Amino acid sequence: MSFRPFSSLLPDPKHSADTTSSVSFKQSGGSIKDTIILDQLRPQNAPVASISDFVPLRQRDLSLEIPLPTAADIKQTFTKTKAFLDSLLAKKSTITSGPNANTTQSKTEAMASGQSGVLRPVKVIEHKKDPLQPVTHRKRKVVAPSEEIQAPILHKSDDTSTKPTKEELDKWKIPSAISNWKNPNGFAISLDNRATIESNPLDNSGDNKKDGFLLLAEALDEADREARERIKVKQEVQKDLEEKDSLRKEQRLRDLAERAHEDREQRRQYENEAHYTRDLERNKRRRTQDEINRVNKVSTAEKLRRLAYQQGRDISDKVVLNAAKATETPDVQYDSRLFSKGSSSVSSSANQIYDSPLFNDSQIGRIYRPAASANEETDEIISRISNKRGRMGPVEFGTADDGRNPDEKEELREESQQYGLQVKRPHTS
Amino acid sequence: MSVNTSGFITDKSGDEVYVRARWNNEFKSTNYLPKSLQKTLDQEKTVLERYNDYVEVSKPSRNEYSQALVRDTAKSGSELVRNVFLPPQQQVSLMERYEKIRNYKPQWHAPWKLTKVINGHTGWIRCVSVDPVDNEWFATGSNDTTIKIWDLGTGKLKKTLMGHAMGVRDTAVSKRHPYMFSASEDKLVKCWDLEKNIAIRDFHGHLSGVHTVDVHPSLDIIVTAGRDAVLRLWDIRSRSEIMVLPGHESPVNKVKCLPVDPQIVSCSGDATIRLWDIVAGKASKVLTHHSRNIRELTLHPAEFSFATVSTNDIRSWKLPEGQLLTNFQSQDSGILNSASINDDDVLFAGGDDGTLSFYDYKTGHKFQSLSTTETAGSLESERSILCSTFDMTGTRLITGEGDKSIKIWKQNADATEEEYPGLPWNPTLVSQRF
Repeated sequence: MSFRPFSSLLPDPKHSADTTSSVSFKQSGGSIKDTIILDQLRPQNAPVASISDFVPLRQRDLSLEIPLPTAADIKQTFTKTKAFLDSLLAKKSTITSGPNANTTQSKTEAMASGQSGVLRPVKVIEHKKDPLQPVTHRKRKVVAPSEEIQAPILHKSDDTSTKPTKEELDKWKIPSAISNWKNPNGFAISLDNRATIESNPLDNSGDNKKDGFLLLAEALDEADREARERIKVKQEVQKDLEEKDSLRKEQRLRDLAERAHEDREQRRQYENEAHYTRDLERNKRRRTQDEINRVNKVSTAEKLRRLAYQQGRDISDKVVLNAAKATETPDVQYDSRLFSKGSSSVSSSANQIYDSPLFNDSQIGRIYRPAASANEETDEIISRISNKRGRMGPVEFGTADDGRNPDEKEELREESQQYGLQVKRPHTS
Repeated sequence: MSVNTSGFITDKSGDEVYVRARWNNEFKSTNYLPKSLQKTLDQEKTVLERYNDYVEVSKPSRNEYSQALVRDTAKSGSELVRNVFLPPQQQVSLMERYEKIRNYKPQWHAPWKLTKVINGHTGWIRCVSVDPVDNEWFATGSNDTTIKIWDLGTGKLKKTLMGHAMGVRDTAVSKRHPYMFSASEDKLVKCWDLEKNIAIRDFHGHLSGVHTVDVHPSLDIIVTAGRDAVLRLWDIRSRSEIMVLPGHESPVNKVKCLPVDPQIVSCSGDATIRLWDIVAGKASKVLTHHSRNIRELTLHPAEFSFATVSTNDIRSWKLPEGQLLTNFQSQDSGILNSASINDDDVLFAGGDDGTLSFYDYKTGHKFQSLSTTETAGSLESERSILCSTFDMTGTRLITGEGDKSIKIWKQNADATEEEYPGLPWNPTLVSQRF
């Protein structure tokens, strides 16, 4: 304000200076004066939307020419933007490399003007960097500033006409195996397969059309179902058996009870006790006779086995048949399988670690023996040992020896008889 | 006046002086309109002047000999009101504007037809760009992570560039350098030296896949944008990130650079178009006309305007202001993936279901619509047209498609307007939808 009287105590009018610049002329929407007033009332920078924004310019004037920008315009924008970007870049480069360069400079100066008096050239070499190496620091997400003034929305926002209906949504439900979904990289099911599936999706008759996976899945399902059925049947049978078993047990118990009952009845029938015991004895004798008859009928080998069993021993068939022989070579003290395993043949593939035995047959005998050149004393010892250990006849089994003296045994027997004790023996009848 | 020419106070009282001074101080500025407004007001004609003009204009028709007994007074009355009493430059009614549009005659364009199919990629073809200098080759980037360079005339494969780890989303060939830039979903932007056919620079910094890249026509910078919803400016030589422009709320689908302000234009999944001011570091204008994801933004090669493509909606915009130019007849077009414009004012829009629509750029008239030729063995769902471009002469259209083929389309040179009149010009009021 050039003219301002001293008497005026009021401040300057707020918008007097920039009225001309802030007012913009709207082509439509009331008179110009209205526009000016509205513009002044509006908050600063608030965007305006008018009906003219919706009307395409070419509908007003089809012959509207919009020339490309002139070279002068381009030049002007170029210089302006270039200057701005250069300043930005310069700022960035000082941030990154500025202080580093300075320190090296000062160092070189200090060294050059050092007390030694000798000027030493210092070469500053930049650290080599891979030009393609990505930046090492972490980038952070940039979020749009929220204080930005919102632009007015110039389209209908309550447009509900294109909402998909239920049927349309259902149409999009496609089984995943034959998905029609876009497949940008061309992966998964090959084109021709998809085409054949798509040509008649309802036709499942031909197995040749089916994928390997599909066949496998079906086979697995079938196998699973069969296995389940089999288990079910098995369980039923088992249940039946258990039922029968329990029935049988019950029946036996009932029989026993009945027999006991009968027994008691019988005893009551006899006149006296002696009569009854005699009858019992007779029965018992008959039973033992039957047993003996049955034993006589079986073979000698079986008899022998039974005998052995009664004595608490278990013997092999060879011994029973008297076919068992003492080992021919007295000095073989090892299990020959240990050595023969490796040498057997190529056929034992997986278990075979070595292709040939560690020792030859000739060497086996000498593993645990001193060398042949040993003195006579050792030979003698060896022959003694081998003689002692060697067996000439078949094995003879005796009764189990308690390790007591015969006198002691006799004493024990008498004692036991005296007190009515019995040595427990295997069941004979 | 309280102060005379010599500047001495004459005979007025002190109160009067005070009032005058205060008025001068506070309200003098409101006494005059700004110069520009005053000028337009002066040019505006008064009602009487307008009436005189109207009479002048309609005189010959009145003087003409007419046998009609009753004059069409209603029509002339409404005309009178409209021309005289209503302020000028204002559209009166929707119907009248409709009449006006109906009377336009859209420019005739010869129909387009398929001339060549090129196969070679094993994934979707996501981008195609033509050699801007010699118009001899074009490059396609694909989901199979490769960029392939093809001879434009013969359609033969010239070179395969491998280096990206994921699909290539956009390529940009520089007019001023022997460089090509490619943006990929592996978060990288690569700079390819076309003399040595190797990648010479990587631009690291995007947090997610990069969807688009463009070279500035006069400055040595590139602009990239992608799924992290910000635009990044890179210095080509030093690989350093100069600037980050946040503002979009969804993945950015396309970025284009212009030599004058607004130097960057971008469109995004949040249904907005932003015109950016580099120096201010923010959007100078946000266009919110679209209501769906805007998948494509393409510049007119001969006019200072651009077109944007959203689902069911194509619009063109005047630059540098960003005013709506044309609302295209695109109500039934479905999802649109791609668009390109040639010097002959043909706008091509490629749909996600494989429809090709050709529009007259000025009027927004769809003059041809055809569906793409299917490749043997491809499915219906693979028929989308994902990218397109005209070659530098504007006579050949190259499209990259979801069935992994590249197709080249040409105009039928022998066609005449009588033979192929194209689709009828039936502008609907719906095309003025908001």
